[in-house]
Amino acid sequence: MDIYLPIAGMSVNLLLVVGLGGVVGFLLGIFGIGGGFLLTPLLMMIGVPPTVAVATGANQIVGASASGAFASLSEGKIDIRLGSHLLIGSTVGGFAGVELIHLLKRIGNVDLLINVSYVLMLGLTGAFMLFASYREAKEGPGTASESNGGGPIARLADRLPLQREFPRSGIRASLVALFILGFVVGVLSALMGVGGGFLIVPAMIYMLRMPISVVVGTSFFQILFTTVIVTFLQAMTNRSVDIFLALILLAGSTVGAQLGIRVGRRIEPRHFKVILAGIVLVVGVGMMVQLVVPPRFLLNDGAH
Amino acid sequence: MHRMKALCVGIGFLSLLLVRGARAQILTARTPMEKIDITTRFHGQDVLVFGVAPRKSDLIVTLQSPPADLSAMEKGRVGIVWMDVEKVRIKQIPQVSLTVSSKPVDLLLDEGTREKLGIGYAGIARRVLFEGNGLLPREKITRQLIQKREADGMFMQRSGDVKIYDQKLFQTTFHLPDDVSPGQYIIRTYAVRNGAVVEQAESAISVEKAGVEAWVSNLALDHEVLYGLMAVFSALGMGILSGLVFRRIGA
Repeated sequence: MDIYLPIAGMSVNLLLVVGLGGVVGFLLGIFGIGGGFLLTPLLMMIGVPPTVAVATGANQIVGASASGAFASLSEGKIDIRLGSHLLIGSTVGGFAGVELIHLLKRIGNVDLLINVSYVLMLGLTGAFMLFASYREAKEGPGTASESNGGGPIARLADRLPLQREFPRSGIRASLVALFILGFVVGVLSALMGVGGGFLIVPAMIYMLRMPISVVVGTSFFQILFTTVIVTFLQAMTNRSVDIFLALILLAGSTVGAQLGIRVGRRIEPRHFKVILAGIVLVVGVGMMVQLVVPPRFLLNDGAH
Repeated sequence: MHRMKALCVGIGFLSLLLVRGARAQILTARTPMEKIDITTRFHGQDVLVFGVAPRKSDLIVTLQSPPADLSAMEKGRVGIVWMDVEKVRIKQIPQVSLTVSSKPVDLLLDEGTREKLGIGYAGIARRVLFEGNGLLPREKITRQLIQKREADGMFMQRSGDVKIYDQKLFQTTFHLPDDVSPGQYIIRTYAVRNGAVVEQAESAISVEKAGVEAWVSNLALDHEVLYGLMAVFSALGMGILSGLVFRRIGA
């Protein structure tokens, strides 16, 4: 059964797209993060133009994170003050990223930009996660929370100006640090079609040293509103959001997520970080291969 | 009753074609559809062309989208990474160019004639304009473009796909891929004898987005604020709703 996607301008198999959504939702359910960074490359693989893939990916995450964000809100597990400060940065970052795509669509290499963002971000994140779980395996659990006292980035963030109290989290944080963090997440959301959970969650734990009880809720809040803003900006500037595609993916991912949550309870947390790091690295390497392997055609005529 | 009427009209139409074709030896080409709707179920479309050809002539049939200037990028290696390097413009080239003929086109018409009439790939190389220095020579760029479009199903040039019956009735079928752009597509039929076009016929098919597809595309292009809000709120609504449903199932 095929369905024509109005913005992607192509026909796709409905079950295939629901299945893709399901796979992505499943991983999201298991790991709590990692929906977006898998979705965009998969969409590009079935022939969706890269700009449509990233914009629609963000739109899908709006729906995927909505339920979690509202549940956290009703349980009072969100530091709204801190989240709002992050959002200032992500709005500016999202705007910058969307404009960058708009510019490169005209002068070329928009695919390259998206690919390179993936290779860098996934390579770094995957390597960091593998390293962290290796250290944990060698030195025993608990080292992560000890090093919580101050990695180099956390110490740098502590020295930045405009330190403010955030009573809900019980921490002090620099507004400059929050702006930069939010900005980076906003840019990545626009360029990669992700919510930025893989970056924001470790940053909240290790850099801002927020208590775990508010990290999950606040990251949901941040992811939801970042992708809301980015989806809107992509629709405004690049007209690359495919509503049909987003909703079909969402139908698959909500079901997949429920299955993932059930499976996730049975996996040991230690294994789970290694598996996630493995997936991240495989996708990163896959994107890198696309960059260095000679293309089939030496002319880019704008068609996908 | 309706079916009888349709049958009569069909027979009448066909005999008219035959009589006209036999008497005046003129070329008549028809396609059963004037309009192709891109609906939610659209996944490409076969286009049938049939008609009557002058006796003992060969046929060339083309289906083309409206020509437009194309801005493309040449890819090159920078360090270890392949990227878009040089801008190339190709003047007045259709997105879709499908050509079928009863014999290979280069045996039927010389290149100059084909270029003048816009048949097949003739003369594309001459329309390649470099903005910078260019990496590949014109001919190579043209070949890359043709190979890429052929792989996408947008270009085709094939002989033998026109069936001619009794030396005068002919029939051929084109396939438009699913990712064609909307527009006015033109079907041209040429009857060729001794290296010259003796008759020529033309008809048009308009490819349009229809129904929900047209509505969504127009909204995205012309009312981007509304469309952006719709994208955000429909995803929000679906996310929250499914959350509630699963919570109920879970409980």
